[in-house]
Amino acid sequence: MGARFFDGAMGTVLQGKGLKLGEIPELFNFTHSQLIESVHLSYLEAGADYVTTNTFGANAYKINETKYTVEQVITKAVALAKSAVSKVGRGKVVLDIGSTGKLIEPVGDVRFEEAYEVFKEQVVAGEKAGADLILFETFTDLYELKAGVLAAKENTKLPIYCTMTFEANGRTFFGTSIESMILTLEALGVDALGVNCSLGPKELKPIVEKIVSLASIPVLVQPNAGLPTMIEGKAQYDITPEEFADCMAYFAEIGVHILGGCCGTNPEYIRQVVEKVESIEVKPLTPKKLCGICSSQTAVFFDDVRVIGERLNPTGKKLLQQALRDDNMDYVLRLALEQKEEGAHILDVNMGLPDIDEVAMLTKAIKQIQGVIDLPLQIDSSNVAALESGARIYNGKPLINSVNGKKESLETILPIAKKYGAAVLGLTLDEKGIPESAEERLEVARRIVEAAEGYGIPREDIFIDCLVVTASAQQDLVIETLKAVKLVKEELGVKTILGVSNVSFGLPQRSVLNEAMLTMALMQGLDAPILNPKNTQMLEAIMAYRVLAGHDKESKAYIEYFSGKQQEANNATVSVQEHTLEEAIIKGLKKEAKQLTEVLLKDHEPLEVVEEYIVPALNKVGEDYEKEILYLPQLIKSAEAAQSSFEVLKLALMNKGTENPSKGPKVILATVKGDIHDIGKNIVKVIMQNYGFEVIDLGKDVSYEEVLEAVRKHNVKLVGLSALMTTTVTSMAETITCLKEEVPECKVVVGGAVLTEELAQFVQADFYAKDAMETVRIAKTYFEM
Amino acid sequence: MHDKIIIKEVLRYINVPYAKADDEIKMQIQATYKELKDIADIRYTYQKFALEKEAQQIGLKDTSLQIMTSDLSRVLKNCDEVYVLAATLGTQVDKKISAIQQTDMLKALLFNACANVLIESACDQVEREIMESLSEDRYLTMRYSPGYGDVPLNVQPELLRVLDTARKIGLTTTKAGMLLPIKSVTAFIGLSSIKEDRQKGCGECLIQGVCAYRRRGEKCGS
Repeated sequence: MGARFFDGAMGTVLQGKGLKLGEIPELFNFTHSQLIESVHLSYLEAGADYVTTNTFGANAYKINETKYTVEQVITKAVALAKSAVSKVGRGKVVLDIGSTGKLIEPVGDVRFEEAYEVFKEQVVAGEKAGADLILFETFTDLYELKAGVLAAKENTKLPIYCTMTFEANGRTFFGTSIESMILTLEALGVDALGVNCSLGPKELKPIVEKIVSLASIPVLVQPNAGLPTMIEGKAQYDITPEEFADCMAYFAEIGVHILGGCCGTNPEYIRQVVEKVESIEVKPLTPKKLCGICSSQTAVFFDDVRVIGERLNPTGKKLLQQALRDDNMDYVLRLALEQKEEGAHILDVNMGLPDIDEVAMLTKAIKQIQGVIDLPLQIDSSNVAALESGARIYNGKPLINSVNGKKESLETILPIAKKYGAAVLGLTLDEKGIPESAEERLEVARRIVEAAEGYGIPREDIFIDCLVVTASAQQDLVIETLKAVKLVKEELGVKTILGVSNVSFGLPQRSVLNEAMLTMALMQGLDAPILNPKNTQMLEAIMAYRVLAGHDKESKAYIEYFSGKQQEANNATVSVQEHTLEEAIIKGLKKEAKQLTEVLLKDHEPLEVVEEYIVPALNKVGEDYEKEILYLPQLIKSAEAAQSSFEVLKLALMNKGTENPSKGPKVILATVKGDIHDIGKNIVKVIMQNYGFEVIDLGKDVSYEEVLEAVRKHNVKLVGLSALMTTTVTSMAETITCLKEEVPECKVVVGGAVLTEELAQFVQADFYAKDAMETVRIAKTYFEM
Repeated sequence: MHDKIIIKEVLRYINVPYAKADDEIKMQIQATYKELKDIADIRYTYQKFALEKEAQQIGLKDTSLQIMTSDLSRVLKNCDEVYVLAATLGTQVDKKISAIQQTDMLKALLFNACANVLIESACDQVEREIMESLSEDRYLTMRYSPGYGDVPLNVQPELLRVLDTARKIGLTTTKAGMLLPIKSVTAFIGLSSIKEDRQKGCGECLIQGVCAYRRRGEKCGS
């Protein structure tokens, strides 16, 4: 079998024929239809098997600015390509879809679901018009690409090809790695993947070689005609058709199946590629059996011990439970970031509490976590709808925790894993519970593996948890778990995961047992323990294991870790006793404030600590700030030190079973619709929380409907709005008008870089605050505190 | 950029007079700036266009871009050509700033200010590159961005389309037309045969009359 050939550039050709920069090329389908058709014709005549429609930017964001609809543009473009194909008597029509040019939240302002709808409109129109396949090309954001692929899979029957654009460093502008692209797209079930644009074929060589070495499905490559140089304000590319074709012949030889061109190429390039490559026999596809999961940036392969952080699970964790009830995502994000620092490779995310909407909470948590952290996630829930929703909006290839041997579980969870391209963790239990013997657990595992493979989930995407029992209750069975780990690995060839710390429930010195259990399990071949990475002994046990089992060559990682630790110990100075809590807060010493609070709690009531130490300190800091003795950095530092002290107190109160009585009035903060600059608002939040306000933070780009809804839901009497840009002062005015009409008793304070006293009056705000402290003062006066 | 200048600029963004800053914060700024530079993926693109001028209106030849503006018209009054540039620090910087806010707000504040300084210095660098390419009798005007004076921010989407920034440097806009990644700049730099006044005057500024620096008798310098 020979390679298949795509066409070359459309845009470059149109620019040569009078398309102005900044104009919408898709409108040429109407104004220059003959030209478009002739471009298709000349590519087909040059030997291309596939012609791509002139629809790269035919999405709602762009086309809705014109007098046409997306469907009209796509229908017309497909018709032109089909007409060319029928004239030549051969060739397939490819519906071309580029990035929407908008970014998905939380980095951008478009919801994943909205991007999905935008793509859906395109693919449905394309299929209806008679396109033969869909090409998503020039993507730099894997997340956006996933929205497109899902839209195509769920709404059409067309084959899906995807290319992303990589820079010389092997990543896209968004940081997507080649590994993440391949893991994610293959698991989603696309038909071909590859790279286009950005670089010329010479520069793409290492990238193409890597893709070919990792991909199990056909690879598509469409390079630019070299690198652009600007001559007379126009881009000129530096490679001749002949050089281009030589490089492409090399790509065909190393295993690329589909070849074409991008910017700067024309029919002559394609003609020479076809001529040179036609006679080359393509290499057959080989399954690479990659065993890994990924975020959009980071892939984790299970060729070494991997730590799955367990702290994002509210079971038995009062602070996290409270945070979820308060909708406090900051705390969730903090736990995620801490675990990364502590050394977790993967984070388990479980947001299950009986009294919250788990589907919404898990979805929200995943969206936000993946916005700030690049570790792959293990989506953990016993709620099927939550698992599905989480897997759908996940950016990358997740691990679903979990399926088990029960018929119902297999039939509901496995299709979700398959559909959304997830790996899946199977628990060795079924309708009869957890089997006692290792052999019986192996049998359950075998059933899970067979069922998963039946759904088309490859074996390398299946993980098994042989389930740890507690030594205090079922001592005899501990060894069965360990035996089962070994059996499952040997007999089924899948990777194993265990939540080791369950073993020690009910016994003293739990960490001693946990560590021993971990080491024993690793010896049986455990691949990924689920544990609390804050517990350094556990991580150190893994490091020791990796040295002794020969994974850590020359003990490099081990030595590096412990020399770093020594350094830390040397640098740490004992200073706790040098300050009072009041001083620690004034100086902004976070750690000390926390420790000193813990000490004070031994002989003080929590409220006494607040009244006698924290409030005086905050008052002093506030006064000094007013007098310009200290400035914003110190104000923030003190606020954060006080915060760490408050957290200790909060936990103490919870343990006593009392609701935090120091909760002050509720205030809503939001950065208005259209504005995504929110650091100022977040600083105001930190400062306000310190003065006892309960801040409901609606985030950035918040519509007036959302503000109104929150005001009503929480019965709030003061709203703070921020805007940084002149353009968004309008949405601030809109929000205030809405609040005045609907909830006149609620007052509004505004701030932000462009705001002034005059502008605040103009938008009819009740108060204008020039900075965070002034917001506090206004709020205190308003609530008569 | 020189360390002291960086520190001064960062302090200016966070409203701390240089004289009131202690060594600790200065060191922290230096460290933060270095950390930022390690993760920033500075990319830029620029292109020269012939100018089509009408009263209160600026157009770029062979493009669809037309802007109604008296302020930019004034800046470009002697020019027959204009450079349009776009530069960005990349999405990693945005992500990092929102991540640090969860654990260390002070550092986030500094990181944010450092990013403002870095993107400006990247633009200065581009400007130098352009200057070096000029023939001796050609001069640049000051750099002028959408959002200054009466140049509306809503020209951004079309301006980015003209420069093809989404593909070239990964720079795009939100639905409301704000630049994304956040730490990005677009600007016009006029090109003329008369030596131009490159000083940025407060007269061109959007917040004239309410500026905190002017009230203190200082200038922001940007």
